[in-house]
Amino acid sequence: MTEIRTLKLKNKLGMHARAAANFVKVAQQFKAGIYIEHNGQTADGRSILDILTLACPNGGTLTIKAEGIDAFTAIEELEKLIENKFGES
Amino acid sequence: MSPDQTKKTFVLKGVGVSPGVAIGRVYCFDPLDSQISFYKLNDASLIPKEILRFKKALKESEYQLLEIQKNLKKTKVTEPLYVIDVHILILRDKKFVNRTIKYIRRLEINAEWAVRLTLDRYKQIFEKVEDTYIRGRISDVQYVSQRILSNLSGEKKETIWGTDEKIIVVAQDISPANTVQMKMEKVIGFATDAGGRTSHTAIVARDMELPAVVGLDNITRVVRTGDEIIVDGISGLVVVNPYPEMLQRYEEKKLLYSAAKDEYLKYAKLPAVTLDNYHVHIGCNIEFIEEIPSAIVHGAECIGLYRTEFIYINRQDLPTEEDHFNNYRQVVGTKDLRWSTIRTFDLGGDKFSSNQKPLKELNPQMGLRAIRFCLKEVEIFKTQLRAIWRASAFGKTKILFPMISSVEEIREAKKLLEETRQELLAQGINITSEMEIGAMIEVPAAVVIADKLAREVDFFSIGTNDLIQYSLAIDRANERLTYLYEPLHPAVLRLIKSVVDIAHEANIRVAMCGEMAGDPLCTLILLGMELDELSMNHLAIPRIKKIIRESTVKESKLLLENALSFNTSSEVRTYVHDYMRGHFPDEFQNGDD
Repeated sequence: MTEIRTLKLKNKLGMHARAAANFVKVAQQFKAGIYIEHNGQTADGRSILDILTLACPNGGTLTIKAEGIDAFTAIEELEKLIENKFGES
Repeated sequence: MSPDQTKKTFVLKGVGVSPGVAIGRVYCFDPLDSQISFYKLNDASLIPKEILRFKKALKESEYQLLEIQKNLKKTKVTEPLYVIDVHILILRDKKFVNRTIKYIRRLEINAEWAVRLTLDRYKQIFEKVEDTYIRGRISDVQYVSQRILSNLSGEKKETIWGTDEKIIVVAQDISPANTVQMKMEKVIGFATDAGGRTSHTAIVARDMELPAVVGLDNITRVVRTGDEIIVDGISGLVVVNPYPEMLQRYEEKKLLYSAAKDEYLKYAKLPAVTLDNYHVHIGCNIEFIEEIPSAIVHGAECIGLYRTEFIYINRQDLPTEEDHFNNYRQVVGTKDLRWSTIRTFDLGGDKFSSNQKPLKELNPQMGLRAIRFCLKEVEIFKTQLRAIWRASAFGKTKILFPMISSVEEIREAKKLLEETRQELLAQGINITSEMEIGAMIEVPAAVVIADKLAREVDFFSIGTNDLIQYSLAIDRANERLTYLYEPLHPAVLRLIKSVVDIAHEANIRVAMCGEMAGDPLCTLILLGMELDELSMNHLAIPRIKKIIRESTVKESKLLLENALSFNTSSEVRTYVHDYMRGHFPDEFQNGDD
């Protein structure tokens, strides 16, 4: 099963360290392989360094791909995280 | 004499991210390359063992970070916890781990070397990132690598922490987890290469309420463990190997900072006018342009003393006219300042880095320095004078000549000043039509001939630090004599009063720019003498304004008269202290003044 969604980052600092850490922590809960694409570059959704070096800013667009048995739940959770601005105030 | 006195003073400019002043010894925190050996595995069969060793170091590192996180959770430090999360996630990052393992396997190298290569690779990757915040996160990779390396080496480091010195930690960046490796009770400040207001160091320093300057670029390369440094978190400056006078000024600033209270700030913007309507001009003493914003925030009406020595010492060669001018123009051109008093060079030639063979002077305080030096090195002096004239076109400028001890000196200085003025006019350069000329009154001889000097200048500025040390014959650097250093010594009071009286008789203004001007205990004494201007450290201004605004000249004159009637310093001090405590019970408590 493969799920693909394109989302916009709304938190102030973009995909900075704390946001990336939260993303990885969620991604790790699933079996599905998770990949993020931004500006033609692809990052492993479980690698914090990969995600950081994408340098996705506030307002930037991310395409998230989940591949595997729990792909749907995974992508739902990740979307929620991004929509909630990674739990930042 | 400490060995530091032979080391050159220099100043680094960064960003002050946590206010306060710290004076202490440098401890260079854990440079990556220290005591790490890189070697090739000479047998491919050693590879699995090496990979295992790396994985063990990863586990150990993660365990340590989790422990640190647990300990931090118990303290009030909460904000930086996520940084440790990030570090743990890097340790678990498959890309990071696999890359390192791949290096061990393919290149047949030891784990240390492989970690180093991985870090180098990430440095390349991060350097390409445009976003400065993200680019700065290489410091996290660096931090994690460092921790892995120290676990690979298996040794627990214990170095300077065993000594009694107060320590200023110098590092590339300091993460919250680093602080657990330090004996924090010994750390009094931070200075780092990397970072801005949101760097790890900034967060840690503010959390611990320790002064910090970050963004210094290369401090880790230019200082060494054991160097004496000053961290000025207010102005964002770091002074390395401060010379004795500078050290004293910063000791004063440190005390003022701890005494300053936010509640005084409400007096900052109010004029220093007594209840019976006597207005004292309040100036600020500065030596770096970076200090001007705090001067204004704290309520300075003018710069009463701009020390220019820094322009000379912080460089390899002599400063050019442009170097001077660029500094002066910024001071003079600051709006919100009524005027700026620029004091010409006040040190000896030994402070020039370019001077290869400085003459050793047994008693530099009484040596070839200040105006004496300038009148000997006329070209160096004229370069400065020209720059001051040129700056005068940008705002009201006054010039002040230090260490005047005779009429000849002031005449000679004025002659050179006039020469430079004519030269600039001939070149068609825009300068002010009138610049007030002042003489520092700090040599007792100048007090004795003050009436004659008054005819030569537009104002006096009393430098109490030197006046006290010269008139009481005390070397301020000599710790065994500090008990004799007493601004309220009857002789000192008489000297100051006589200068003020003579100046006013001659119709010229008198300012004071020594430490005494910012000492609240002395404020009414100085009011009683009717000084026209008090110039001080910015931190002292609000409190002095408060005292002036709640007093009268009339009572001050009475206080002064009584003070002058005593025979001994201690009688004067007790009397003045009791009086001040009676009138300002919140300001002057028992024991401290």
